[in-house]
Amino acid sequence: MQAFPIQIKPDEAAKELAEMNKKVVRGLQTLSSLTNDDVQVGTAPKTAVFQLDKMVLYRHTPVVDEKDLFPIPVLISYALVNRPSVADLQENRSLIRNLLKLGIDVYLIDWGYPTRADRWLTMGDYVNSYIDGCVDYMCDAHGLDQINLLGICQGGTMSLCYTSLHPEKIKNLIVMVTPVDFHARTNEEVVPPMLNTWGAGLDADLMIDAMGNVPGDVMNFGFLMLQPFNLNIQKYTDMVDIMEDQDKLLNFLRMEEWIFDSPDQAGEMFRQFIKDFFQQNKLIKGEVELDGQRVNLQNIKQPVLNIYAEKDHLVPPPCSQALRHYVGAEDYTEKEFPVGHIGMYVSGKAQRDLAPTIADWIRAHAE
Amino acid sequence: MTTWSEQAETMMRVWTDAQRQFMGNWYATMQSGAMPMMANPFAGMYPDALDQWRKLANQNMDMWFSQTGPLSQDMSRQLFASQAMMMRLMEMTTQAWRIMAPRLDAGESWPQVLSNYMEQMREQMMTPARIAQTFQSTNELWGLYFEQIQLLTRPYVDALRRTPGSLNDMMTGGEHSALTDLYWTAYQETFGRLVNTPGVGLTRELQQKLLEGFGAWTEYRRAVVEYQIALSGAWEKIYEQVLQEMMKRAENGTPIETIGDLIRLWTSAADRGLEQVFRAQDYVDAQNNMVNASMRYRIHEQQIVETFMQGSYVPTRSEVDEAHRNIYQLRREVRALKKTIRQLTGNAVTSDNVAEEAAPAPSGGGRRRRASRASNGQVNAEQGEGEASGQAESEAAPAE
Repeated sequence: MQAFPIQIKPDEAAKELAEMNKKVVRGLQTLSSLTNDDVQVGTAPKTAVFQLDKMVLYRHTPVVDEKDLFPIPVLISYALVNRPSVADLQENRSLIRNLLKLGIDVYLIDWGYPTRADRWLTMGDYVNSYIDGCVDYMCDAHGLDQINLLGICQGGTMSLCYTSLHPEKIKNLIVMVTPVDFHARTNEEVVPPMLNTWGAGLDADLMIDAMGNVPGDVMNFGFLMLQPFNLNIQKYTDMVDIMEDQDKLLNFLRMEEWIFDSPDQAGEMFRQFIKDFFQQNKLIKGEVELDGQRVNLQNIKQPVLNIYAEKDHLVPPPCSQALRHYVGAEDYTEKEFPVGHIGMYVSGKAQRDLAPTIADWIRAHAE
Repeated sequence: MTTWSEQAETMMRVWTDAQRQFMGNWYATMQSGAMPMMANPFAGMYPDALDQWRKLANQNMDMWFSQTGPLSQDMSRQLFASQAMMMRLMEMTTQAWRIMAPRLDAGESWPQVLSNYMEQMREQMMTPARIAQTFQSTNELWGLYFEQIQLLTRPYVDALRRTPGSLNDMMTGGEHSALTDLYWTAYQETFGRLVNTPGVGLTRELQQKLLEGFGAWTEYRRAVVEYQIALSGAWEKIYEQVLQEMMKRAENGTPIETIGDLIRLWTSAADRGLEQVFRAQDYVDAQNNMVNASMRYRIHEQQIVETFMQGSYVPTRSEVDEAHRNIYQLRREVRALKKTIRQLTGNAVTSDNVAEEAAPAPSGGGRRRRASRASNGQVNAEQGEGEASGQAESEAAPAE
């Protein structure tokens, strides 16, 4: 007879639970000593330098001498889903701080929190007004005609659109974990990302007509449903093991703070993104139109660095790698990191190698 | 060698002991700790102790974390919810094995036992009575529907009631309006018949909206039921996946030896099982139908609420949206004009009101580019060209 699959001995179970309870109580004491002020994210020093509507452009305070500062600044365009603070979660988990240390002059777009008054904002507004306003500001401020653009995730998709429509203003383009071909698969046996499966049947018109904006909680619910048991149970069960260690607990809480800090999505922008990008995959077909202008990826002739995450379950590598087939740039580089979508910001490997990869590439493409 | 049944019984005792221990330790630790605690609520309450424990934990959260930030409070609640779920998963597992063990002892094959168990579970979850509960009679549905609408419209109806004059009577069922009186006082029982009569006067359009809203609402409820049915399939899949993984462990001679191990197996297997369900077309269709039906109802709901808002001089969602749209379009036009002016004059881009103090100009910033424009004689200091926000405007571009 086979062994019974569960061989938990009563005395050991009791011991295990007792130990867990102790950890919970000690952890609760640690937790109760913390306030929201202890769990701040995005704390690298920065100054608001430009604002259009709710969008604010920040310049991060350089940490190297003026003479060592690379003369062409980088503009970071993050996704509208969640907040850009993930690029600066804490002092030792910060793409932004790492870039600053390497002498890169970093500007960051904060899209703000859209309210119902912003429901009419289109993707054209985000690309042709907001990103373009930031680029113009930076060009003016630095006396340049071009800057470097770093787009992350959905912000990368918008950066591709921007560079296609305003190629004369971008010196080099870097995209990171960016969806390009929204229907890409490694092969026919590999299933598409769950979000694509769900997004395919979503009636975006109806949703926006009914809700105006899409609440951040709706977005969060969708993400949690990707792995409901792991994200709702296992994660917090595992948390018990780190609760006594205040530093580890703070790391956990900062990530938690970021994950659930989800702005509402401006209605018209969401409508277009779901229909044109997720559902109809128009970007690679050259059919996306913003403010009446067609986005053609072939217009992107400047050097492109495409960074993607090998284990990305939100934007699987083929979705990003597809850029190589559509972009007009002859100088096109891909760099894979052996991490997941979030690991790109927090993993040890990314902390060590991501910023140098970007900085070295930018310096190599200075002329 | 002990039988599977005996081992399942042992496991049930482990679960019981572990749960007792869990509660006992929890209580003892709480009592010895610095945190305040209520009197022991568990005495004599087992086996409902878990629910009691959860309720108590939630109550205590409020006391412990009243001085801390909401994040700590949220995290603690999440922690307790996951602990409770962990215990539930253990309970579900032991019960499943308790049912299956005698059949394994009787020599039935594992796939057959699993298949029978899943069938049994499916029957329990999908009994006609269970499904019928969600399909109520039309009258009941009307009642529920109006309860919901009433909640949304009550403030406006109350306002209307306080409004003097015939309009008030007609809309709210004052004593001079038999039709609307009937409408407002008896709709819970009779409206299903009333809506079939020809609509008249001011209430005709409202009737139509309510009728259409009811249709949308029943569609929504149907879609919810269909989604629940699809989701019950998900639970089947989860169980199947979890039990199969356990059987694999047994076959490989690597049984589960700790509670932590059991929970890890549960969550990873369950998510794998769920993923299969979530990708299945019937689930995706059910989910889409539910979301879409919900949105359609929401649109009808808004139309009904707006009818009442208009009657009480309150701006409606549609009117506010229209105003926002006009402002948005004006802002776009202003921005386009400013861009044209900037291109003609070579001035720097201007910002809206910058929330924090504007940055100092980067070294050498603004000079090279402007100098080239200056050669065209088009450089102008740009002042006061803010956006049309009506807010204080500032020049964020570095001053020359």
